[in-house]
Amino acid sequence: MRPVQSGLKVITARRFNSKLVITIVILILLFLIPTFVTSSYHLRITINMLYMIMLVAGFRLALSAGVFSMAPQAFFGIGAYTLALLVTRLNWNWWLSALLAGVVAAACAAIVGRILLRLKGIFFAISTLAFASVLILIWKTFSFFGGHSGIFGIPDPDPIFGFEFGSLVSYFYLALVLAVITMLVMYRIEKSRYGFTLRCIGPNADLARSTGVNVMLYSITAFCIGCFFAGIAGAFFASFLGSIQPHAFEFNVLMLILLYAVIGGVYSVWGPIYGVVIMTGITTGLTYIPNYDPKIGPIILGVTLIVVMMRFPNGISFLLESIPGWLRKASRKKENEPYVNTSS
Amino acid sequence: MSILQVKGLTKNFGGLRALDHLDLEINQGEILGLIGPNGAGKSTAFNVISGYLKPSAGKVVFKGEDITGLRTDKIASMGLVRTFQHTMLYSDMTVRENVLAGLHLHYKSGLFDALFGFRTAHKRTELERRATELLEMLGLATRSNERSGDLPHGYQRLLGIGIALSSNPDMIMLDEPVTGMNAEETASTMAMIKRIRQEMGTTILLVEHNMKAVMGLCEGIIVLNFGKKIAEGSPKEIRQDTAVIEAYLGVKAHAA
Repeated sequence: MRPVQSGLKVITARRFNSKLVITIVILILLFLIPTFVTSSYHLRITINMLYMIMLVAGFRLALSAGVFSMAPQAFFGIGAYTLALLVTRLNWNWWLSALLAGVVAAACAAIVGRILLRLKGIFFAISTLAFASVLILIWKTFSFFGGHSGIFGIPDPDPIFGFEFGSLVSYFYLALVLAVITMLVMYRIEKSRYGFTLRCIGPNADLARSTGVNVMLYSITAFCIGCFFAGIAGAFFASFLGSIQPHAFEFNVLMLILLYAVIGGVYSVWGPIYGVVIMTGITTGLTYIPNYDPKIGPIILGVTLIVVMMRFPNGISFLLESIPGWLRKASRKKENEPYVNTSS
Repeated sequence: MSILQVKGLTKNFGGLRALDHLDLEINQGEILGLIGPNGAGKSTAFNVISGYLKPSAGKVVFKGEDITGLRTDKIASMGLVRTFQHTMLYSDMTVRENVLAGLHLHYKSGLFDALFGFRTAHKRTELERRATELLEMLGLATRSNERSGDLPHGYQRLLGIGIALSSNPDMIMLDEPVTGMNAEETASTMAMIKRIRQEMGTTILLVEHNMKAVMGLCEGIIVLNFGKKIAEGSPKEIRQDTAVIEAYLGVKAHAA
């Protein structure tokens, strides 16, 4: 059973402040990560997590409106290729190119969405998968995109506000800022009327239509926003690696996105973070086992997926977000205990 | 004054003509019933008028404007809203959220409002007030925080009407509003439909199999069979119409 969705709650001033404080503390801790995580291996993993969060969050936004796209990796690739071509061939400013990478991904999503969204559910999903495969073939085939070997020598982002890019730590901060902006936008959407309408379309598009919702428009915009962030993540990814190849945007990326989304929980705006952090934590933690065989990793992921699907079909987010409620209940019980004792 | 005019409405599904030149007119504030045996084309008529299906031929005019073949949400925004035969709710949301969802048209808020939080708080309280009023009228106020999927069937049907009503439409089309209800629930729903017309002035077109409900509610009745209109008139006239009796009970060849 799904949790009852919170729709339009008026946030009280007190709760807002405590939330604000917690958010600021978390942000400060995040900004301090490079002082704790000094090994480049672990910093690299953290950066991977950050752009993965952007991808999963974008995927989840579209999914909340019932748009099950199986092409987030393709829009990730569109962003990466757009940036790579603009900065290597035309010597464009990196930031402008990155923004354009997002815009191009969103525009592609608008076109693909307009054509394919007349299909519903799994039929839409399969057709987007076909779109993704065709795109990879195009990247592999045409020399304009560098063919199989891809595009090399993608430069670091241009300096901004006196901040130079190139070191791993600088990439970490860039990824962190991008991921935080993504999650901020996702949160705003979730709490808004727009997000509420998306959550109505998801389970019952026909009913939403009868109350005057332009379902096509809402689905396409949600899909576009999701793909915009996938495109930005792709732009980051291209510079972070310095080179891109078509195989970096194949189905294994899609599988990871789906895994993170499902395990994190698709009904919560924070689900992508939980999914990415927990699953990356597990796979990284496993490597510390002596005589660890890397082939076991996927097996563990698969088993985790099955267990989560069976025990917590709403994902880890449902579990984590019920904990405050349980604590409140437990503390209330404690307060009541003496009263119950004296009366009996 | 007629609010909805349907002229020669026809719908073909491949070789099957589900709706055959239906003419229909409903006056402002009227309750009109659409009846007929199973497969007569009642639901098709609803789907075509409300824009879920495109008509093969014919014309639908609402409030003087041609709405033939328009998108459903467009038609809804003009003030013509429908309910569904099978219960359709956002079953994972609370009763109150269902009504708030129905208020979509009153909350023209774009994406930029969403991102930057322009003028939402004021609007929100106004909508909350409207939702409360509607829930009180429907008698669902005490259940407003329950998950709508957990409501008893009768209340779910009522909430379905509530979602349609929340945008304060000029006309609603009720698809079998009392289906699956016991006698008591049927009576209270009938009273509610009458009250809606009285208090909100809503014009109502309804499809229903429960003859007692139809006869008790409607001022005019239209009878369909095999996609064609076979009779039209007051409940009294319909009850005595031989074509209608034939359609419902059948007629033996030698008995004629």
